[in-house]
Formats: sequence, C-alpha cells, structure tokens
Amino acid sequence: MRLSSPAVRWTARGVLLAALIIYPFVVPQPGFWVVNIGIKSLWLGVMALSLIFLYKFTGLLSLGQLAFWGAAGYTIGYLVQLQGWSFAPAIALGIVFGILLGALVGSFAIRASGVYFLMLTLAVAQLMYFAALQASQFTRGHQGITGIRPPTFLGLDLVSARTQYLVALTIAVLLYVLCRYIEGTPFGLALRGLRDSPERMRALGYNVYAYKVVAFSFAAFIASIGGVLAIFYNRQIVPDGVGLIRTIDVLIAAVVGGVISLPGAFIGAFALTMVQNFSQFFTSRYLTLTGVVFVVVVLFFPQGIAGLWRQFTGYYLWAHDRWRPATRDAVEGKGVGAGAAQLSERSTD
Amino acid sequence: MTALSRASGWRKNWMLLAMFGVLSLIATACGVEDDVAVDEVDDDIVDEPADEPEEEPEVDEDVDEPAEPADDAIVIGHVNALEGPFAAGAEDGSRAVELALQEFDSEINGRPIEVIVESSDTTPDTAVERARKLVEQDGVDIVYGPLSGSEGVAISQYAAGVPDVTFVDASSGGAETTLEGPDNYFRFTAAGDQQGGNFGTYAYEELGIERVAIVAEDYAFPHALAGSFITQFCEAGGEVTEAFWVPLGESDYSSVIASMPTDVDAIYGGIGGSDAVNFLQQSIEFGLEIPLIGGSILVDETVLAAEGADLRDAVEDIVAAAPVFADEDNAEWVDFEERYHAEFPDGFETPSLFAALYYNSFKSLLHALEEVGGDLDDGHEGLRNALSTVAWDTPIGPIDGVDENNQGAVSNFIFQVVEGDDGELTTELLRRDDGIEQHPEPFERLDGCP
Repeated sequence: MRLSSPAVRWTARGVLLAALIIYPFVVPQPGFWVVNIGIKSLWLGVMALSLIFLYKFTGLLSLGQLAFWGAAGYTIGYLVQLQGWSFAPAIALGIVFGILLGALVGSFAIRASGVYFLMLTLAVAQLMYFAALQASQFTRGHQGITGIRPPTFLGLDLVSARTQYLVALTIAVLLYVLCRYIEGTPFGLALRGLRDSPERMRALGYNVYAYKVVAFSFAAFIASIGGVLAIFYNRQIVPDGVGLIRTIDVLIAAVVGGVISLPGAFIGAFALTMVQNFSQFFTSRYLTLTGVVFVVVVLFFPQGIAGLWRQFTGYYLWAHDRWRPATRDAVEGKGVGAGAAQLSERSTD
Repeated sequence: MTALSRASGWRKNWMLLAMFGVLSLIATACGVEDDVAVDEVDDDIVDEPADEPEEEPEVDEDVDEPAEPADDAIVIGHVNALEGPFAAGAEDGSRAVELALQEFDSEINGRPIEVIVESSDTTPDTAVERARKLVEQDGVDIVYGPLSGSEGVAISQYAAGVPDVTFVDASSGGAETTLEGPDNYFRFTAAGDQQGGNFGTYAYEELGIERVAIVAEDYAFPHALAGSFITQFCEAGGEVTEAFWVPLGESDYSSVIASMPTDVDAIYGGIGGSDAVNFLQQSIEFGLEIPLIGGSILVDETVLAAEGADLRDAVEDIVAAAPVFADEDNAEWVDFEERYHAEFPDGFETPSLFAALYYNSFKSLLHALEEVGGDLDDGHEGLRNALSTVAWDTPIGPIDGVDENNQGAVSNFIFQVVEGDDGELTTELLRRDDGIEQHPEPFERLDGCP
C-alpha cells in the first residue's frame, strides 16, 4: 500500500485526531502541557489559519489579523467584565464586530497588494493597539480588562483545562474543515482564480473586489473566533496582547508551519509554542531565538514544516534524476528533470 | 474541478468531521466517567502546583532540563523581562539577584537554592505563561518576579489559583497587585502611589508651592503616582488648577504646553521614558518658564541619559521624589554599590533602579527562607509568616514586614537635580522618608483636588 493512498491518509488522520483528543488525558503535568502547549497552540493555530486562508486563496499576506482578534476580545471583555453581560451575547457580538471591522478594513486594504497591503494591515494592527491603549473608558487603557473567568457553556465548564482544550480543538477542527470545504466550492475556486489572474476573472464577469472583501471578512471571522479562544486562555485582554510582538507571532506561526498549507497553521503554532516554552534551555532571549528560527525557515525551508516532506522528496527526485546513468535515460526516453516534473504535478497541499 | 469531484471532496470533509465527532464523544464519555481525573486536572491548574516530588523527576527528564535541581534544593522560578523595553533593567536586576545569592552562598541551612529563569517581554500574557510553566512544568517552590506593573497584576491573579506556591514580587508597581492580590503574593518594593512618598505635602510645606497644574500619562501607574501627590497637596492646603492626562506614547506636547495656565507656581510631571524626554525637550523649545516638579519617572536615569537630547535647561533644579536614590552617605548603599562594581565591572556606573529593587525583594525572600531554615514542608506557612515579619536595612532604607495586603512599607527620597562640581548634572538628596505605606484604595484619575 502506498503512503499516499486514501486508506493510509484517512487512517493517519484518524490516528492524529484520536491522539489529539486523548492528549489531555495522558500528558503529565496537564496544567502546563494542556494549557501552555495545547490550548495556546490551538488558538494561535486558528489565528495562523486566518492568515493562511487569506494568503492561500487570495495571495494577500496580512499582518492585521490580530486587530480582529482584539476587536472580538475587547468587545467580549468590555461587555462581560465592565457591563455585566453574559458570555453568549457578548461572544456573538464580539465575532460580529470582528467581521464588520474585517469588512471595513478589507474594503480599502484589498485595493493594495504586495508590500503595500502588508504595511496597510500592519498599520491597522497598530491602530488597534493604540486604540486599546487610549480608549480607556472601553478598554481600561494600559492595564487592560483582567480577571475574566471562562464561563460554563452547555454544561461545559471552560475553567477546566481539559474541557477548554477539547472545545478549542473542536472549534479548530470545524474551522479547518470549513476552510477545506470552501477550497472546493465555486467561491473557493473563484478566489484561487482571481489570485492567479484577476484580469481574466474580471473579464469572465466576476466582481473581483467583492470576492476579495468577502474573503478578507471570512478571515476576520476566523481571527475573531481565535480572539474568543484566546480570551478564555489568557483570562484577560490587554493592549500588549494586540501589540507588534503578538502580530509577528501569528506571522511566524504561519510561515514556520507553511504559509500555503492549511494544516501548517496548527503545525507552525505548535512549533512556535514549543520554541517559546523551551527556549530557556538555549537562551534567555526567546524573541531572538524565535527570530532566528523564522529566518532559517524562510531561507532554507520556504514551504515551512508542512512542506518539508515535499521539499525533501523534491531533492531526492532531483538527485535520482541527476545520477541516473545516461544510457538508461536514453533507452527509456526520459531526460533529466523528469522527477522534478513529476513532483510539480502534485497538489500543493 | 468537476462538480462530482467537489462533492467527493465535501463528503471527505464530512467523514473527517464525523470521525472527529465520534472520537470527541468517546473522549468526553471517558471524561464523564472519570470525574476525578478531570477534577485533578482542574486542581492542578487552579489549586495545586505540580510539585509533588515523587512525580517530578521522570517528567523533568522528559523535557531535558539542563540543570536538574538537587533533590533537596529550594527551587525558585524567576520571571524576568529579559526581552522588551526593560531588558537592560531586567538584566541588571539579575545581577542584584546574583549578589544576594552570593551573600547566602546559594544555600539555606544546607539546602541549595536553584534559580530557574524564564524570560518574559513585559507583557502580562507572556508573564503568566512563564509563571505557569515554572509552577506546573518545573515544579518550583517559589516564583520570584516580575518587573513591570501589568505583569504583576496578571501574575498575582494567577497566584490566587496556586495557593501552595509562594510568590514574591521583584519590582512591579501596580496597585491591584497587592490590594486585590492573594495571601501567597508578597511585595517589598513600592506600588505606584508609594513612589510618590510624601512629595505632595513636601511641595506645599517646604517648597512653598500653592497652585499647581498636572501633566501625566493616562494609565494606572501615573494615576496612582499623581493621585497620591494631588491628595496630599490638597490636604496640605494647595490647589490643583488643571490636570492634563496625555496618552502613553504621546510625542507632541505643543497643545498641552500652549494651554498650560500661567498663574501656577509649578507644573507636576507624571510622565516617564521617551514621553518625558519629548515633554522636557518641547518645554525648552516652547520657552515654558514655570518650574517643573516631578514624579519618580520624570527625571530618572533613563531620561537624564537620553541620547540626542539636551535637557539640561529643563531638568536642572527639578525637585522630584523616587523610591531609589544612590545615597553615598548610606553605608548599606555604599556596600551594595561596591560589591556590585566588584562583581560586575561591566555593569552600570551606578546600580540601576531595578538592581536596587530586585536586591531588596530577593534578599527579603532569602532572609525569610533563612528564618525557617529552608523548611517548606508546612505548606509554606512558616515561610509566609517569616515574609510577613522580615526586617533588615536595605541599601534604599529599612524593610519591616508587610501590611494586611502583603505589601511592604518603603522609603522615599525627595531630591533635586543640580549641577555638580564637575559641571555635570547630578542629584542632591533633600529628604528621606521611611515607612511609606500603600494607599488602601487604587487611585482613579483625578482632575483636581478630590
């Protein structure tokens, strides 16, 4: 049976899911491994997923996803902690607010592309940071909104680490499946089309602008849900939580995982979380170490961890072709590069 | 892609979802059947640190800890902001911790003291993550730190969930850290309002200032700093004519300076760091002639040493209050400074504010550990009693126990920036007040006399 056969792939997915579900019941010191590693990886992965979705389907690399995370988080914090609302309507309103902000930002940001889009979205993230800092009647300024106790939903007490982990895992899987589903819908195909050739799509009658705004808003929706998960994890929301360091964290998680791979979002988030939690074995400058990892990945593993298999398979096929005896090639009628060509036919995901 | 293949892809996604649902149900069922296990997890997180000695060794091996603590070691986890804007100060604080450890030969009653350092970046989210890792993963007995105010508030809230671990603050100044903090969190350094000392009273009675305007950053720390000043100043008989609360990170003070009333005797500055540099610089450029007086952050070493800014005209003669002062007439300070320079020749010319504060708080912890002979087997009860009554003469004034919120009283130094014999700016001590206690309520933003 080949490794790429559907049976093997489905078995692997099943084993992975089972492992993820069993994880909080079997790890030692769950206060660390479930909370610091498990839940953190999941909400950071959701944030990276929102960035990767946008990049994979529209070719737009955003640094502003944390703004929507913050919009949802601050809305929930303000309504629950300062206005005494219950969580359910506050979360719904927080997500709606995040999406609306996404639509607003998207309506002007997607007119730019490349580095200009990157800078615009970074400016939006910084705008959120300074708004959080200065609109103190809503955000409690520098101090932030603290002491948020996770609620009990449908009998699930989110104070419990295991419950919170399983809820976060469920939401992460649902969002991942939703992104995969969109990939195959006419909407997803249209997005990929306008990513590769917007002029041609426009000529075919597609409203490129509207499609991009909707994609951006959907990414903001994912980021807003990340904000909900994070506020349960952090039990507070503070301006530094939407600051530059955390913005870069999301980018690094996406790039390290593989910026064109949806599973890469969670792989990258897990890798970054591990690096940040265990960096003190190498250096006390964990941000510096994170930066070094980022540079190494960008330079030597541009497809991230999710693309390692594909990258090394490519090397193998290239080497295989290069050292194959020329006479055999002549007999079989194949030239150098056949392996690489074979590789390029495979799906990017 | 054809419609058929899309449908097929969607069916696969549903299969994935269904598989996940089934496995989730199984796991949830297991969890429900095994309520104790779930509660144990909750207890680990909320109530109990994972410091059971019989469980730790094999897990620590798993995570490849490089310096495995000795079996009988007292393990202290140190959350220090070695990344971010206060990295230099945090590093200097670490030097002070090392000095204090050397005085005790890194052991208490034969039990070695191991310090595990976790780096934060002055953000509260990271600080709590690091503290949680130290408690849950490394199984430390005591958490020491953090550096900044918002980190302290966040860690004290986390500390409430792990009552079996003792927390000692390093230098954070948030009011809520102790006012609303749990019984296992102790602080020996000044909260924001304590950093103002008796400066409000002093300004009215000794400096003869009767009317003052306030310029301060609009967040919790300056609220407390300026709040204590305003309260005292008004109680003494002074009048606060106007308060300008500027956003943190403000770079343009032109409108504030232009609106400044001219019929005041002084302007109180409750701003620090680069904001203070900008304010002072612009006060020179706009020809502000009203004398300035300041909170602890207006003329600290980072402002006076700001590169590219000649603030001499603005800062000379400023009178300010601070919780740390390099008092060469204080034998404890001189001894501390000499040992600092001997041990760390590459350190600062004068031990920084963070070095002094870290030294105070960490050595207080070591004194308390010494008093109980390093015995923590009583659930830290002895240690906490010892921390509550610890007393010693520090380089920046005496420490004598803590109040009902586990907050120590501190000394406060009122000083003036003057020109030294060599023509360089220096500071001259005007008064030292000991036993400054924390205000029992957090200060809200005050716009005038309360």
